[in-house]
Amino acid sequence: MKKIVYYTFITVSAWIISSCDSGFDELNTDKTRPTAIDPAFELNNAVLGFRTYSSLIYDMGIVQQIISPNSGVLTGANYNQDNRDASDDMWHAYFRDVIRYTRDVTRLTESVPERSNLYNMTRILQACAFLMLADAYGDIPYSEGGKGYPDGVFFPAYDSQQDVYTDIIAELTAATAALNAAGRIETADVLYGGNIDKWKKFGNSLLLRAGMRLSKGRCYKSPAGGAGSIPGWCDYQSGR
Amino acid sequence: MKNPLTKTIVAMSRIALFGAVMQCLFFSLLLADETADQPQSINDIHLSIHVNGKVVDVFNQIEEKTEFRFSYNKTLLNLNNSVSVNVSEQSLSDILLSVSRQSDLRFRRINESIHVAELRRKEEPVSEEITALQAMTVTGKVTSRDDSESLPGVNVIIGGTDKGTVTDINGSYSIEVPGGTAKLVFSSVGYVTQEVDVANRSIINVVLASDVKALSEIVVTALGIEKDSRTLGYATATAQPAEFAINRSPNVMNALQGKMAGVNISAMGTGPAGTTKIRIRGQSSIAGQNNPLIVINGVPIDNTNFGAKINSAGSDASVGPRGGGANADAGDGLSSINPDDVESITVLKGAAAAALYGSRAKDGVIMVTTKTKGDGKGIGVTYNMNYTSEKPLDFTDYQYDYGQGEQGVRPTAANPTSGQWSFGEKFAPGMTQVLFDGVQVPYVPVYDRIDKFFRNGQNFSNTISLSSGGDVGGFNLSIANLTSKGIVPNNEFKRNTINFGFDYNLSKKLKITGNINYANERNTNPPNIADQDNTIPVALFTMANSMPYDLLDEKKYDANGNEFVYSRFRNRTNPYWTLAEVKRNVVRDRIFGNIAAKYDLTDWLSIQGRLGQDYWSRDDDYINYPTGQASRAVAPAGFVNGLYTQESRRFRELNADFILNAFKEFGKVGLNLTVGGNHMYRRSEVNSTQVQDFVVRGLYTVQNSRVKDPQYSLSERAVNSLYGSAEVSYNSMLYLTGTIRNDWFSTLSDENRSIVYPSVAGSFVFSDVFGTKPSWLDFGKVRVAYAEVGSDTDVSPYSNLLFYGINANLFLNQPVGNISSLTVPNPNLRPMRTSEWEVGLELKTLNNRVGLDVAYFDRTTIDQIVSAEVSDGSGFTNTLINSGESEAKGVEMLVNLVPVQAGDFQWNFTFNATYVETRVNKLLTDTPGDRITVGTHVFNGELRQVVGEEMGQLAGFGYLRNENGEKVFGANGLPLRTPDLIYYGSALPKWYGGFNNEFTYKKLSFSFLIDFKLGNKMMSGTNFNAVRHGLHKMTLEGREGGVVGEGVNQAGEVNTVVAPVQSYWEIVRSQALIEPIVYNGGYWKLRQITLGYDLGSLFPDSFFIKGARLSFVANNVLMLKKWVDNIDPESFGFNSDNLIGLESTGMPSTRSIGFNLNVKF
Repeated sequence: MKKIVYYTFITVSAWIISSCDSGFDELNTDKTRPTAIDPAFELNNAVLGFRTYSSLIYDMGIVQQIISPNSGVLTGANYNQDNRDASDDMWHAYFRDVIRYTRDVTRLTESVPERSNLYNMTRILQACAFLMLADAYGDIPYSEGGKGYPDGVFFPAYDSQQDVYTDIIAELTAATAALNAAGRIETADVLYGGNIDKWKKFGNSLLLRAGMRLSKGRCYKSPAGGAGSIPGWCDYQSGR
Repeated sequence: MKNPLTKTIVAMSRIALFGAVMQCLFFSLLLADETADQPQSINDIHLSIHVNGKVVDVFNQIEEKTEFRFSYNKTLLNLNNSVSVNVSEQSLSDILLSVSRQSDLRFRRINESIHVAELRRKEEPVSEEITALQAMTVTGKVTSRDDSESLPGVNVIIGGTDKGTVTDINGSYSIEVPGGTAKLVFSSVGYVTQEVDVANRSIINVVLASDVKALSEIVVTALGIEKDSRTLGYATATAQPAEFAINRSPNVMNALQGKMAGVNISAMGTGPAGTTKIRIRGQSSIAGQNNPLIVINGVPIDNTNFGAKINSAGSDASVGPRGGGANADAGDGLSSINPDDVESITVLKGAAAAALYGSRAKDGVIMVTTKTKGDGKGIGVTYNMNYTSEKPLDFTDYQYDYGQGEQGVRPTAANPTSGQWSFGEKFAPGMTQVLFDGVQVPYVPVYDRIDKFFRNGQNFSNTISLSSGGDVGGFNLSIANLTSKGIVPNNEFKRNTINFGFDYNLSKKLKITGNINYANERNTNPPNIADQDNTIPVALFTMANSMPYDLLDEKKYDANGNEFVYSRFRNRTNPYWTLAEVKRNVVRDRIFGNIAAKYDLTDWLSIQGRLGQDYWSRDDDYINYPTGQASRAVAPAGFVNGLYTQESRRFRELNADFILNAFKEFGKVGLNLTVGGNHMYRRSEVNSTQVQDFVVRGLYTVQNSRVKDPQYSLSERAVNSLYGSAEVSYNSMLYLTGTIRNDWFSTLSDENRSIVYPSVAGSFVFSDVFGTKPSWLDFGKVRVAYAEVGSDTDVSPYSNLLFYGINANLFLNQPVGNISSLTVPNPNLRPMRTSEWEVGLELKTLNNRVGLDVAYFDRTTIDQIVSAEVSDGSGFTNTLINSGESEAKGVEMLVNLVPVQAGDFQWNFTFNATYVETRVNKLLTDTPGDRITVGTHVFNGELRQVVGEEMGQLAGFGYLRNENGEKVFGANGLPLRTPDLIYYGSALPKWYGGFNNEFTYKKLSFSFLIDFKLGNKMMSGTNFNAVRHGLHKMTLEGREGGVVGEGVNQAGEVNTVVAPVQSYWEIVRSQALIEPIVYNGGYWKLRQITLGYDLGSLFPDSFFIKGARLSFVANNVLMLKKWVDNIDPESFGFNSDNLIGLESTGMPSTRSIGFNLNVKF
């Protein structure tokens, strides 16, 4: 009797020890969420991330002052004070809801020739977001911005506003030029349905806007030295 | 006394003592009855003695030659001293005197006995004689108060002497006393000693009350193993049913608030069936879970928390509602337990105590033992009824001088929107105001907002239990129901429970025990707290002070059936509208239990297998935002707005374990070895659908909606463990226990998932070292323990990867993908590790009338999983890293005193107190000042962890002050704020504890408990609103003509600028300048009063009622001292440690008064 019990015990213990973590990898696999999706769907989320957020302008507060006593949270506008709630809104929203996605799409498509159009569409949209952020905040994390995963850049360095504009122009130029109507058309795109002409138009329009940011500063000091992509516009490249 | 083992031990010790006493203690007395005649004086008796040997030989010769008998306590005296007596025909008196000189003994002759005692220091040798008094014989019987059974082996001693006898097996005694004025002292192990005046009575029957404190306590330790408390090297605290089942609460642990050293219990101000927050020895995790493990009969159960504002990063032990608007506390896992089913609750406080539970016991363990057998043979029936009425308490002390309005103007035209502001005009007789759609009412203060809105709550519970117990086993079956009506008029909690426990010895070697508990809980409309929309308390506490409540109720709907806009602050939903429109139903069915079989292989080796499961399903549906809410945007054409959620959860936790135990004694050395293993598997599933905007108005279903967002999630985790424990004891005096445990976690990566942690504990009962114990010391013990525990509780399953998701609804017929988390995953997380030292001292003195139990502990938790904030510029907000380190140090103590013990009257006094200080040593770095924000206030302010500071720092802007400490004002006359957030101190209480006084007189008992929590700061959201809305008395300053703040302007000159009063006080909101509303959050309270009477003796023995006890109870009786304005500091609704101190208006606290009736048939 005793022997049987001992042997049983030893066998059971040996079995337990040998199997103390068997099946854990499988158990710790999420059965309900994907680890990969078509990056085009992520671009859609980035597009939807472009929304109006309470801005630094305090327009609502000022308008409300006319119609009601301006008090409480709205005094920021009334007394020209910093209301933290209002001023960080756009920063949070664009980095979290746009840049986070565009960085992931470009990471996944950069070296996939078939998705070249998706890659370049995303670059245009990303440039648009960075342009707005630089407009609102000046110096921003740009070259390292949005690279928390998988690069692990948790505290990205800030780039000067001037450098940001300059690089946005380069990005827009390159991305717009690389769009190819003969390549794969990204029909899942909710902005233009993957229409290359429209994306080119979007890219060029943004280029015009970005160029205006430097019209006083850079081009004036460094007159044209080469051909720009927009006729009559000074050469932004020479400003480097 | 309820524990069968305890009872056995008491009975055994009583019988053993009976035997021992019979043999030696009063040996001679029992023989003394043989002579009836009074012997002569010792001066008149002459005899010859020749002894060159031991004292005892002299005694023997004297006893041979005379009728005298010596009486002495062999254990106290040394009678082996050598003496030399060689006399012929000397008086006995002289002989004894000679012995006295040689042996330091004193002799006293009373009647036919010669009592021997030790000679006191500096005393002359003594041999004295007391003239025989009018001797008489007293007889009687000693019985136990508990069960009225006779008590054998009780010492019966004549007061002032060491003469006495013991009761026989029937509890009877007979003793000759020297006179009718003597006293008899009745004492027995485990009972309170009683003194009785003889008063010329010849029959004296005595009833002894049990003295629980004096017993060698049996403590339920980890894994359900019962141990003698003297063997333990760590601190535990145990509560008996009297402490939680009489003056009770729907959630059983709430009743223990202030009663256990080291255990900080907070009942949330969230309505019936709300969460109980329990913290043992402070808080170890910087930003995660600090809940103790709940164990029922040795097997853990789930304690998932559905509290308000869970806000706990990276853990799956807390579940919050989806979407906004729903902010109720929907309970926790403890609420399924019926207090009547509980036999005892033991708290394992330190890591050493809990070491065998491993990872889940980092924050201590609450061990609940339920009843598995009855006391007597045959089937006993017990009925318990408890009724309490809860009155909401009003602590508001608002200003009622200036009424509704803004900028000093009262509402005078239809549709005013100042309903939440009291910055109006000064009340004067005859004034009127115009409210809602043009109703003109007097402009007068409206007092008593709490009484006007809330009702008295009620708790009514009934339990019937059947039980039986015998030699081979027993069972306990109970059926109970509880109906609890909350103070919010539409809130009700109902619980029906069935509990079955059994214990059966199939053979001498095989024993089976088991218990199963079924609970059906229905929580209807748990009230939302502490937020803006749909939150009755917040809107009510900020309501303008001249708002008539009948009108507010009557005018809650506008012409379209939507909420009538009464305030420009639309998020302050009209409380009557909330009451009518916001609904929630929570239904949980839960079954938990375990079954264990224990087989004794030999008399020293046993093996036990056990299987336990906790399964519940929970349906929860709630209206986040009802249709027509003023604060919500309108729906697209063709729809009405609203948000509704319906969810269904299923949860299962399985524990299977085995324990092999060997116990053997080798002479004085005892060895106790335990080896075991455990497999834990937990699975949680949720189906949830949230829908927005409806087709048919008023029909809240998922089908009747415009936008649907269904979700399903599944979470699984497992922990496998192996453990061993070895206890070595020497002479039942010195104990050394070591344990080792290895856990394997499924949630962690391959390299990190296995972790081993040890514990070692020692206990030394120093009072047993002395051959003869000093009379002042009944019991003394020192303890030392060290343990390490690891925990993965802050790591959710699957936190190693970044997942994608697809949005529930297509956008322009295209899928939208998302990245499911803003937290960057870290596949290399390790379990956090807690190491704890504790030393303790236990003392019992003065016949157990003074007891002391002190412990010092120092707990360090390293490798904490910190949800580190990262730059938003990275695209993410957080990442999980192993970095944090915190340290909790403290002292806890328990003092028991019996200041008065006279006849039938006894006063027991218990004091417990805990001092604990928790510091953050390291976050991402160990640079002092390095910080993370763990929680943000609904209104303003943050809770941070800061390196080098105490845990839980409240942070917010303060007044800008110059170097002289004067406030600095801006050009507009408003105070300026500090450039950055400043710290106001820790929100964790440093001191907590309670004083309990219990008085018993015959069948009557009365007790009251005072408890306290001190040393914590609080950022009061209620006062924040009271200030910005003009209700707080501090806003009376400057009502006429504005405020000129006392201080300087930015140029350093005295400030003379007049600021408008409303803008001045609104700085708490506009500038987030919260300094005015930071308070000391401590309190002193008269927590409980219990008055009980044992009705049992009123019924004749043959009556069908065997016993009955009626108690009047009152809870949360009186606020003795508090520092925060307008609220009870305890009416705080957040269970999460990430929101501690960030008060936002919860439900008002209540005073409950009622009774408890317990009848045994």
